[in-house]
Amino acid sequence: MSAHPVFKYKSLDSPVVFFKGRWITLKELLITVDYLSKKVPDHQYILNLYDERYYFLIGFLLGLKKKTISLFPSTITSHVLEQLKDKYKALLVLSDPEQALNDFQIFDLKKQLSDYYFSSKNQVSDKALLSILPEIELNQHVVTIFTSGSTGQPKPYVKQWNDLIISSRHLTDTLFTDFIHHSNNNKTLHMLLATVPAQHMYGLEASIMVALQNGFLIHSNKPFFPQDITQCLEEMSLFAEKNQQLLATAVITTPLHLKACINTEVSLPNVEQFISATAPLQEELAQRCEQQYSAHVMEIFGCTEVGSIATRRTIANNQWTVLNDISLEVLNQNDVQINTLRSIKKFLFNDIIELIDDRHFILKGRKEDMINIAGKRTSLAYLNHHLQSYEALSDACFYQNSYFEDSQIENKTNDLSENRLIAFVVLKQTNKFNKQQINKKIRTHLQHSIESIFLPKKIFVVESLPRNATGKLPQSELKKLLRQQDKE
Amino acid sequence: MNQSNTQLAQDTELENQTAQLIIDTLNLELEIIDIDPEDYLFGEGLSLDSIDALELAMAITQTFGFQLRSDDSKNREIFRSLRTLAQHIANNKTI
Repeated sequence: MSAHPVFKYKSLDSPVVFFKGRWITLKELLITVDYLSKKVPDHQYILNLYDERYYFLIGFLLGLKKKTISLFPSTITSHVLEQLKDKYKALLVLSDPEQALNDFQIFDLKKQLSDYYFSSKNQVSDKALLSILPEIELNQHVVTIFTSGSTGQPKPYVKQWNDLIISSRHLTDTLFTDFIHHSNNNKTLHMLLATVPAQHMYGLEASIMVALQNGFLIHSNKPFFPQDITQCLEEMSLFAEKNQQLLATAVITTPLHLKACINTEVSLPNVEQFISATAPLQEELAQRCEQQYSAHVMEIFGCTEVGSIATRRTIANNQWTVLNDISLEVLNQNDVQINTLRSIKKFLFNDIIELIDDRHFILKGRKEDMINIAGKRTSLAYLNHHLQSYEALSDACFYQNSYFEDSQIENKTNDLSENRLIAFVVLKQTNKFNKQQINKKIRTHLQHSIESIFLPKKIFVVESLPRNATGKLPQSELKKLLRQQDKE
Repeated sequence: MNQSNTQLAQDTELENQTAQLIIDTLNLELEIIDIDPEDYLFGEGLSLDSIDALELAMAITQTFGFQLRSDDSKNREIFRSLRTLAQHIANNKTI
């Protein structure tokens, strides 16, 4: 099978990462990776926990070079760490030392690099530099990414190098063509700044692979608050100015961050376009962003299993257009299959869609069992499994108000928490705790296995759950139950 | 009332105001008195999460007129408890 290069930068002196007020050139990055590859202990799997993209990228490139596999769990809880430790014996964790990681072998990149000095006068031939990370075989297994699964066991999905190359190529074609051609001269620095982690498909594809495959500069920070984003952009603008260059930035982000930026009225200089994914973006919000920041707002629709699937410009279209390697096929009334050139080949849509043709669709809602909060997906079955296992409860379930259920979605732009989870619990008769105590105890129990974002915002103690004759809990009944509770 | 008592009263008032802001913003079923000023806001304690943090940041900007930042290591300290958050607001508020 053929191979494909890791980098598409103009030269070895091109900047790849902007880190702590300076940029790291391709040459420096390669020499650093080479240096570390001789020090890193033997391993088969990597758990790369770095938020800063500079360190994340080094870890990712080490994996490519050593032909080892990066693991991307859907969450990092103590429960997940235990599972990983059991299943993946030769696992090396790339991270700052932390107490929760005491049972793992840690390779601390910051410490490793603390006594390392890169000299730009380093006399290494271009040929030797390029051989540090030569082309990667298309079928090399690069990443194993996990969904939370429905039974408490995470479900792994294999990502080959080719999968990442295909999606980044088509993302480039649909989202970055204008970005590249806009003020495309030697004086323009094209930078990607991402508020999302690199350790899931959206972050990996849109903020790492697209950058490497187009020669874009990656900002190392993962800004969180609106002011953090402003600061990254201002710092970078100054830096570009000093180097007599122009800056064009694409911000890889989420509806939550866009909403926070608009509501706090921060200034965001030199943004050419925003890319949003992880949850549906309201058209009104996209409109406000486009106006306030004179930038396009584009969306990616995707999932862990396939990666990026479709894109749209939010204000121009309620229809999604699939990427060029994908076609859609109706199997029966409810099921639509995604066919792709990537190694997964085919996958059934997690969401309910209206098919326009084999390349276009409208998103209608999520399937009942799927939960999606701020881009993190899990299933109700998984959450209920952990809630029901708490000993003081005789019955319990989670409930999520759907984004799509109400027709007034557009009116809710100021509320980030519109679709947070709540829980209904039925206490065992032997229960001795009061309402507040039981609330706290349930949370503590859940924190061990469920990421905080999925913890119930409210816990309602009820007499019984409205189970039907087959023991199922119809959503309509739960909705009624919630209304009743709200009235009380 | 001497100066330190006045300071103390102001601190308590801002703590109460911050607690009310947290309760209103995040729609929590709590009274001010339920939030121990020393209790953790994230993890154990109130178990807030990153979406809550963004919501709180927006509300703080709108109410107190300054932007939160997470670039320094102090951030974890700022959001540690109601008391530390109120202190940070006291030091930075413009409204």
